[in-house]
Amino acid sequence: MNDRPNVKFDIYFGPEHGRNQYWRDIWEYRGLLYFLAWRDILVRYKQTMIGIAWSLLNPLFFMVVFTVIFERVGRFPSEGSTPYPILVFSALLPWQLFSSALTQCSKSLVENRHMVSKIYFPRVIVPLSAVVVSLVDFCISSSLLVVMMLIYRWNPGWQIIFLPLFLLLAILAALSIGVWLSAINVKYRDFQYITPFMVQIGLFLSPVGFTSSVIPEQWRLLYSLNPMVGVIDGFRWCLLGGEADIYFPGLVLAVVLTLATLWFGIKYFRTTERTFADFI
Amino acid sequence: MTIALRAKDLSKKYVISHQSKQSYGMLRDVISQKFSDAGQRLRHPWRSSSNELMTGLSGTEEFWALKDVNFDIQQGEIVGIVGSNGAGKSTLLKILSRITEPTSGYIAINGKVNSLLEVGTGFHAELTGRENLFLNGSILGMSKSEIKARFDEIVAFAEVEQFLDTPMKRYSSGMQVRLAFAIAVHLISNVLIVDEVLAVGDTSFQRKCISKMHDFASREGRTVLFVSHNITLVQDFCSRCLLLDKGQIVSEGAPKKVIGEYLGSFGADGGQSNDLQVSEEEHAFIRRLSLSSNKSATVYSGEKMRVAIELENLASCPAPELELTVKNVDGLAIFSIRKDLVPTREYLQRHERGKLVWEIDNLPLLSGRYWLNGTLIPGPREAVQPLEKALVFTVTNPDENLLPKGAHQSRGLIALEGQWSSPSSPE
Repeated sequence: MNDRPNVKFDIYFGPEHGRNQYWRDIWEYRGLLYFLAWRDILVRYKQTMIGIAWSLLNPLFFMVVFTVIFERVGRFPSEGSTPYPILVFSALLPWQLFSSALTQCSKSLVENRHMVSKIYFPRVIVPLSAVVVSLVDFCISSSLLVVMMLIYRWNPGWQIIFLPLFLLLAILAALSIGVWLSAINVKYRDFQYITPFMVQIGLFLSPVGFTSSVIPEQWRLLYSLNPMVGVIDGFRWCLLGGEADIYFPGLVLAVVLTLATLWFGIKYFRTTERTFADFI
Repeated sequence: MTIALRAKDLSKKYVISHQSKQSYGMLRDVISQKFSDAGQRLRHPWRSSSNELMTGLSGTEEFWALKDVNFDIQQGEIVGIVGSNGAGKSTLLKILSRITEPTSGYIAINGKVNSLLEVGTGFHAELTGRENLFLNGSILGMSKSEIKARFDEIVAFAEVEQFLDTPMKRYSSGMQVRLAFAIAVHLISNVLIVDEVLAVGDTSFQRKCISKMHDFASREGRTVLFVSHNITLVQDFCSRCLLLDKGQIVSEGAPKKVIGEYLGSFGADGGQSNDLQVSEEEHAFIRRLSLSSNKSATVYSGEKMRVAIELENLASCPAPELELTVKNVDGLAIFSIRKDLVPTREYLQRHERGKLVWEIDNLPLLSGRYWLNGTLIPGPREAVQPLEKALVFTVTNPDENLLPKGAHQSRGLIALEGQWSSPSSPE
């Protein structure tokens, strides 16, 4: 390609050049990831005094509603001797992480279009930082679970050491879809209305207010096509001291599906990101 | 000498849709388009899925913003890029700063490249000056430790020490611009790409920034690429110039020579600035600046001069103001006049292509070539870059009786009258 091969450059940029420096570039811009997440968190908690309260009130509210509807009205069974509020909350935590990460991720590029059209940086930093912000919210609302466990005198078992793995799966699941949506939103601005819809339906398709053991055995694998089923089951298994079972074929399916979606998502993102600035 | 930056066969194609103003699309349009195409095919199965049908319906057009641009820039050079609106300057800068990919060709860079296409990208009104400094620095590619190391220097340069912990929303636009610039000129990079941003901020601060960049270039061998309408700055600071026209480099070399050709190219314009080709979304802008008296861009000393200004999307600005400045070919401003557009905004908005006219009865300029610059300032607190538009006009002096009595025909820039008297002698 180069007409004078003796001249070597650090950076190449063009449709047939500069693909190999992609990951190195992201690594060099890791500081920006931190600062973008830090900005969003700072702005949120500065603008609204109820910023922190919101990340506590929201899951608390859902927990009460779901406990009333599914346990009291619907008479759904709990896992073993687990108090129903803890059962619900241990699923709400990963669900809310997933849904807020997915929502923020998908609109992140459009919201930061000002930066995208004026400055170069690896674009994938923007959806990534949206996930980091959701992770901070997750940490805040996790403190509620600790309080509830103290109230109900509930001791999680040794399984809790596997929690980070399921947390990672939840993040990857959100990111895998979020990367797709964020890139599509740049080109088709009305696609953003689909995300809230997906998230709302997803809440009822995921075993948040009930346990996935109520699903008939022959439908379990199909049900596991929703990657959050595996994540939520995993969270319950870790937090409820093994009272809940993990349906392994489903979990494997969730992991494979998530990784595949993420792989193709990043691929799609990479082919479109170089012209984001022309559309945004 | 090593090459800092190379552009090789750069081309960039845009597809302009005549239907919608936005660059992004709507999925529903794509879907309904597909359905109507399918419908067409059902009703006219014998007609091949013809291209003319598609283009007729969707109404798109290809437009080459850049075509086969080649150049090398040596390390330590300060290169100015000049050209009229729509010549492809912004597209070139966007590609060089890796914001958007060329359609074909490539660029190659040695070292770290930083671009400054806008001041204060990513500034957030709720954050303090200190927080914004870190944020903006990292957006521009500095690491936290680099920012820390230069923090005091940046703050001193921006002259905002007392306001470091004040939220940005309380900053004046001047302060915002100063801080943004201070960060930008202290960037650690080998190649710095600067767009017209220097049009904002007061003149003394502009000079301060440029001499700082100049210092970096001469002492540290930093390469600077610089686009500006301000030809004085280009002439003073650049070691080389590129002239861009219709997406191609038509001239390059010493600034004086290239700028001369650039100004020469205005002759055929007929006293009008080029129309803006691509709409600038929802931003306000000056569509056209024209000398409405005649078509030849020539006016006469001592006679009437009439300038018409077409403005668009004024509703998007909080408090728009228009500034007209007349400069000589060296870029020296001769006079400048401002107009608050708030009272006339509604009138201009209501009428399609509403025009604003500025008139002067006896133009005091002596013969020569001049620039007329129109700048639209969106509002007092907006830190966005003002939108400029320029045209070149010629002043001739066919009849010396049109000048004030005794005024020299060529010495100086303007002819003024004034009164003579000798108070000591009795009448």
